[in-house]
Amino acid sequence: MGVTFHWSNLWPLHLFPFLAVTSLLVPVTPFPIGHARITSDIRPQYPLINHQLLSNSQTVFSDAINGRREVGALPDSGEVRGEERSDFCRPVGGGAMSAEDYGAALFLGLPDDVLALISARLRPRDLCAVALCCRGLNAAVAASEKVWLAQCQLLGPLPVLPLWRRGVRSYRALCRFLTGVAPLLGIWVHQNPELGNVVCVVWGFLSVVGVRVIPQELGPLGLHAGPLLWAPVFEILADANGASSRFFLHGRESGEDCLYPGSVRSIDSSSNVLLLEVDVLSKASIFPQKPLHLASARSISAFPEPKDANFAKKCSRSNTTEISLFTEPPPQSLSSPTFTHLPFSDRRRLLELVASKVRLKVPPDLAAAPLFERASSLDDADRLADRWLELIDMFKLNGGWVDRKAADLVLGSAEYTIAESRITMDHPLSASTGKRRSFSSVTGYLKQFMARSSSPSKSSSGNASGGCGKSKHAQLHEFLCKGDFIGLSLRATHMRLTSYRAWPNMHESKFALYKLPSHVPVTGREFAGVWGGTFGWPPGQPSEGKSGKALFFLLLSYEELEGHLVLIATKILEGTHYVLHPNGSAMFIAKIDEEASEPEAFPWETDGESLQVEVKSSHSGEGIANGYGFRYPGSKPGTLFVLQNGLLAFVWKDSQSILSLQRVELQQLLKKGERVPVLPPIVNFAYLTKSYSNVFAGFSSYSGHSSSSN
Amino acid sequence: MAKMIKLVSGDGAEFEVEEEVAFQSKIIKDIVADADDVIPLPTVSSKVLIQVIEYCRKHAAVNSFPLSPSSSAAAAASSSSSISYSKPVSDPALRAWDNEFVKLNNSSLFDIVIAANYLDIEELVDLVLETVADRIKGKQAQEIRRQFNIENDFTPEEEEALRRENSWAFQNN
Repeated sequence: MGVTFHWSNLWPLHLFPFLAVTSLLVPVTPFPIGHARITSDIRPQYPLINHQLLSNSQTVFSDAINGRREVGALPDSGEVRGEERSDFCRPVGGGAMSAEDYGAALFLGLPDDVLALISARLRPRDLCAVALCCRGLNAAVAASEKVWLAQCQLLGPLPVLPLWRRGVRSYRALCRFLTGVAPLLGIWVHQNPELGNVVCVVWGFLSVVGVRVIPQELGPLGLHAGPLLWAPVFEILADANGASSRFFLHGRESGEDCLYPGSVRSIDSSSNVLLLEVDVLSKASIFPQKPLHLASARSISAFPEPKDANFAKKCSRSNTTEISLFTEPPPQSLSSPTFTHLPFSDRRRLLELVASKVRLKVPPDLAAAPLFERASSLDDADRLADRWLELIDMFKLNGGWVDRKAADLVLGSAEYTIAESRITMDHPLSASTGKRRSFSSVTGYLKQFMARSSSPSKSSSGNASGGCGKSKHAQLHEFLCKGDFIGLSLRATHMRLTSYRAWPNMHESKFALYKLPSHVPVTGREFAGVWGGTFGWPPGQPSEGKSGKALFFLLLSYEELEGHLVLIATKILEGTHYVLHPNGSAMFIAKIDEEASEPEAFPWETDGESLQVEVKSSHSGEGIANGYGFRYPGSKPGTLFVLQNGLLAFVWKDSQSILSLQRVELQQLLKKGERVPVLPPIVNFAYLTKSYSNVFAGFSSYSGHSSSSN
Repeated sequence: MAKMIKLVSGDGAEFEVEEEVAFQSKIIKDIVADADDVIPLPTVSSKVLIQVIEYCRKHAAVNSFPLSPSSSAAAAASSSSSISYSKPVSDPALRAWDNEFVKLNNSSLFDIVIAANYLDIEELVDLVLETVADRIKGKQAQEIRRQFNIENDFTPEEEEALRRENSWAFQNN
């Protein structure tokens, strides 16, 4: 299945001559997968490039710019080095050069690969600041693929960058995407269900994918090979300009896997809360009169004529009809409510309504395709690329926008005709024709909703004026009246959150996921990070017999507590059938800075492989125990043992229960994992109904593993 | 008796340097292996060549001694990461000398880096680029213009449009 991407007929070569030369800098053959390993020399090892040619091509930039001085031939002023100790350059001698363009010419006289080396030492903001200095620099920076490739290499997964490049206009666009979604990478959690709600956001293919690790038992191949069971939650795909704009929510309805397209409202660089919301936009925002374009992001295409003309046409069609969404949020008037201000039931109903309207069934070939690279297969890149293209096409057909009048009607908030007339609205369709049109399409739906709706009788508060907080539905109506179309949207923002021992305190009624602070091992805090383990000894092996061993995932972090440095093991996922202790409880806390004064002996002599157990150190501490009800666990004394091979084990003193842990890399485990079916869309994102059991185990057999292949 | 290599600058001046000094440049090393010992460098002016030779002389003296354990460990560590620059200069005296060496104005620095890139003297390229990057990092466009004496030829509307277009880069820390 040789898939070649050819965008050559999309973005024609730029008029400026230097781009014709820089096109040599891009490999002319399609990049084989996994080939682009970056060596210790940052200069890319393109086989076709003659290094001498590059160095001597330093004049190619210069030809495009007027009044340049010739590089290497300074006016013969006879100055010695000692006199040139000023930071600001002034031209000496002059020649044809004027003082003004002298500065930019310095940069423009550099060969592209030297510019790329400078770029590797800068952040994207510095590069953009340089581009803002003058037109010449802007053209040079925007057009240089190498410069932006150097930036991408600092951000994204190195081997696939050239492959991803083919889906966007330029490396600059790719850099924009990588910086945009970078704050989302990591682990996100929610308090509910109490067994654990862990969503890992990892790189997909020109996308990031959020996948949930579901509560499960230890797999037949042990901790590191599992396979780990996971279910997809959402994806964010890049568009051709590198904007992280295409959002897909995963869900399952009526026994079929579905995708729910939406938009990405914004991603804060220091996001710690990920919210699923409904956005309201005006017609002008979604279908702008003039297509939005990036004037300077001209791409370079160096690929030869495609062998597969049909495929190239498919790519070009999918890109030229791109509707670029208005990336900035529309200005909000102070008085109108935002989604977060709406009451919980309205938010839930709105989300479910929009999801039901934008639902796309997943075609069978797409259902089996991987979401991210798996460890098992080598040709995943092709399948991932195909899947990406198909998702883009699906997004084009249905970008996920719904006429808000339909929502208004269905949710019963449009009955306040008095309120409606008081609010100044600006939409092209008249209210009556709009209602008539949408009414016929949602009659059946409306009946369903009326029957299900448990909200108070609508006529009772018919005198509510718009904007007043008296009636719940008036607020919803006002929210919807802000625009013409509504759709699902994802917003990553920063909120002030308190936390208790590495576990954030979360709102119970927000459709949100919360960032688990990442703790990385540093000197003096070597055990920080995510660990996995089970109860019982020997560690990491499934027990004989029917019932498996519950798999636990814990976040180990350090804290100063009462003058000691302690190691806290926060439970983030528990694989039992019915939860024992609240999500985010500390399974144990140990005084890691000192050895146990009265060291307990490790209860076992040998481990699973009949090797002698070697205790490196032991630390006293406390382990979780039943306390006053579920909410308030207690603690009992125990000892933490640091064993050989990087194993940790905590032994409760009285019961001699043992929790043994190994460090895990969740992203790596997912690559070897197994996909399981998901829940309906909105609860798949945030399951807000209080639950103590495994709500994610949608398939019949729980103790075994799902027989469905990935 | 050290073997001497003759370098001829763009304006015709000749410079005789010891072989080990000249061999700091990988290009010169390759050329000398095939051809003779007179190497014309038409794109490098005398002024720049003098500075480059000065750098090479200083670093040849250091490189001729076997790597100390600390510097070889640093070299091993830096080359094991996926992206790295040439091995960092570990000798503090040499680092101090380097810092003094790059106290030059912008045009001289750029001349040197172009010559060093042409001659493939990796350490010198890295040193100069590090200095240049430091003069750019964290600065607004106006400050960079002042630093490098660049004239702003954008109209205010164009500049505003560009800023908006690039706003994604300024959002993230």
